[in-house]
Amino acid sequence: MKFILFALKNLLRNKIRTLLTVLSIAVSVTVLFSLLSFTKGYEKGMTSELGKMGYQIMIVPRGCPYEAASLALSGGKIPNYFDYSVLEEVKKIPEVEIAAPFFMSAIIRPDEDRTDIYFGMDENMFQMKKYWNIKGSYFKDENSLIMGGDAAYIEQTDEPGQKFYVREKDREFVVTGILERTGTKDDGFFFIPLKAAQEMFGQKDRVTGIAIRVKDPTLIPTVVEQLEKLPDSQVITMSQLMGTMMNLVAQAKTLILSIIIIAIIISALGALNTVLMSVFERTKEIGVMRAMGAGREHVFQLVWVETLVMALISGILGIGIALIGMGLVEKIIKKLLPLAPQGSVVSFDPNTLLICLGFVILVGLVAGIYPAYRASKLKPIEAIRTE
Amino acid sequence: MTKELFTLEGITRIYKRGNEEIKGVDGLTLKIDKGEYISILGPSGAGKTTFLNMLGCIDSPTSGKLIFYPDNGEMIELTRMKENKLDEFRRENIGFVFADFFLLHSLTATENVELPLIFSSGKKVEDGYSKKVLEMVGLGHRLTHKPLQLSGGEMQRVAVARSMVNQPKVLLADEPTANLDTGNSEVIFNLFEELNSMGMTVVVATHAEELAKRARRIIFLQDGKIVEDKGGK
Amino acid sequence: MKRFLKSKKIILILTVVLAIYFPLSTFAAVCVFRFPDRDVYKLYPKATNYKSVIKKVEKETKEKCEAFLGKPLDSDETELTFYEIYKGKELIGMIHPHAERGEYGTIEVVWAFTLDGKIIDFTIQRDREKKGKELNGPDFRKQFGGKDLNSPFVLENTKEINTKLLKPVQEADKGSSAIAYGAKKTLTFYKYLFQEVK
Repeated sequence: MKFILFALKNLLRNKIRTLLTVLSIAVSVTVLFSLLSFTKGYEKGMTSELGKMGYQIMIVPRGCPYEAASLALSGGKIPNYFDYSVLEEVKKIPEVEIAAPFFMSAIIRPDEDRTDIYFGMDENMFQMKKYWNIKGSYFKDENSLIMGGDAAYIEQTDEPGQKFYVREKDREFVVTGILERTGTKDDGFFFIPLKAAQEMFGQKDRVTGIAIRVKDPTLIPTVVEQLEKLPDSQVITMSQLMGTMMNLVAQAKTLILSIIIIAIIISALGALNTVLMSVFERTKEIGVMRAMGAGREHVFQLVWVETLVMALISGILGIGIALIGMGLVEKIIKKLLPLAPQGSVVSFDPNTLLICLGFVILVGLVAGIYPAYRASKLKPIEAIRTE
Repeated sequence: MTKELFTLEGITRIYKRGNEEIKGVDGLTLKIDKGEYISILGPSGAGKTTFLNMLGCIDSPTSGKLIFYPDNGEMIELTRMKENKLDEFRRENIGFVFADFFLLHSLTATENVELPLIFSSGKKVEDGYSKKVLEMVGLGHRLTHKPLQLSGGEMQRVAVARSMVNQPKVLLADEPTANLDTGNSEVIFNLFEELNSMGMTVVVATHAEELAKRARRIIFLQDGKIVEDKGGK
Repeated sequence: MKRFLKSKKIILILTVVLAIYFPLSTFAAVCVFRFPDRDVYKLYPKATNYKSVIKKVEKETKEKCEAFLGKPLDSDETELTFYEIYKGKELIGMIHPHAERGEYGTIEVVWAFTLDGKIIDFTIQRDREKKGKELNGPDFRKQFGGKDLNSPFVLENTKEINTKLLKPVQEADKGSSAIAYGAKKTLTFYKYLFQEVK
């Protein structure tokens, strides 16, 4: 009979007590594993989302950001514009691969409870949107329109060639392309030629921003440095966006993590108590083992291994539950989180698994020390005499 | 090679119970040779258990000297050894049998017998030896039974098998038949005799005088002192 | 000042983040009743209360509807919401919002009809038609009053308006047809989900 097997048999003696302890640790591990998987998945989702944008830097006119916020959230007049001279300046920077001007504006229709966002763009931007799957084609003329996937669903537009009318501006477009859903903001936009957008909103030769793709991502800082010299402009990099976003998530994560840590400490204390009780119950037995030649170290090891085995089983169980419940966690998070990216937010990562297992082993080791110490301190003669 | 196994010189063990001092054994001085079969007789509280505990090193004397002579001709003063060395000593040389059997109820007969082997990583014991030992004590048909499925006599035989599995030099039995009927007590003592005939030193503390008399040497204890030692050399 | 600029930048970044990630509020099931508290009382001036009834379109019902219309249902028409209109405790009529593509985009029409399936009136809650105003105007609307499935105001097995019974809005044939077909579909749903069930 092996040492481990013996430890396992000892645990099985009081099945209900062991089971309850295992469950309490397992639940903590489940939550820990889910949380860590979520964060990993979220990061992954965000990165792929930002990668989809096809550009790393965006410059917009310096202006009151509150107005920009109002535009982004509910639509409205864009506060400031660039003229084409800025675009020329940007194009002069040698590290810039593509500089795509765009014109974004919104029409609010309170009577209809909606806001239409029009995004004026040219071939440069189209080149950045390589990930688009279009049913139909790119703009054919100044009256062409490409509909985002959700917009097309709402407008029951499923065939290129169907018409679209902007009543406020009395402008008629013909749909040339319908986008498959991308999972980004693109899905809700109406894409029109840059010139058409400028005309429609009466801002000839002006743009609301320029999206920039750098030849090599390592050159981003150089480009940013040069862009910041341009007058009246704000430079935003996608990594900044990502950072801001991740900070928000990190704060929530810290909060949940601290709750989990407390839960784990409590379940570790539970494990400690379980093993300690079993040690007291086995005082006589431990004495007999000592009489048979078991050293202190053997007794210590035995009790320690018991705790460890219990922790390990809990860990595996907890991770198992988490893996099975991953889909559910995904659903819950997407419900709760307004900023969830479209793709999977929970992802399985072998590192996460190792971290959780490592953690639970650590908990087992720490929780086992005291009972193991107490057990090893029992003197054989006194242990046997105990009635 | 010396014939001696143990030498006890003035072994005294004092217990404190509150303010009262109780002498478990008081100045025991004697020699035990290899291959002896000794019965310890005496009334309750005479110090029989303490004596065995001293020999088995699960308790250490307050004063006195205990010397052990292993086969290699050395001389080991057990009373001066560190605890982990004593554990090792017990592991290799001592087998214990108790009145209460002290079997683990969650384990089968075989597993109980194998238990000491878990701790003795150094000593090699052939596979299936525990089964052999159980067959020797007449329990070959009870290998996978758990203690509560066995009779008292069978339980004690499992305990004897357990004490033998390490192939110790000395078997210390403390009132092994206290909880057994006459028939079963007979079986246990027969086993002791058989083990002794195979060369094992057997020391049995008992109340059962008739059975005790089967030993070649009988030591009478009273108030922790030897009052009679007959049959020895 | 510098600090102020920094906080401005953070707000800007957040704004862009929100712009990119906030799910569009306009994205919802194709036809929901957007302004019940306004439109119920517009269509039923005597109404005091209303109650929504959700009906699942089972396979059998779907087949019946499609056979009657001569056209397949839309893929998302699996669960439909009707509104029972009450005056006090008395059930006085029904409302069902329905969306159909017009010439330039979706036209969302809120239909009011009697318990025996006769149209009372309608109102457009969303549209992109050039002639949206006329389509929602009284001249076009009042033609629908009293119409039911017994009068073929849509040509059989098509989505075309029957010009013999209804006069389309000028230069808005498609929009007019879409509304007429929507009326037929609404009444068809009502027939197979309410009238023929009891």
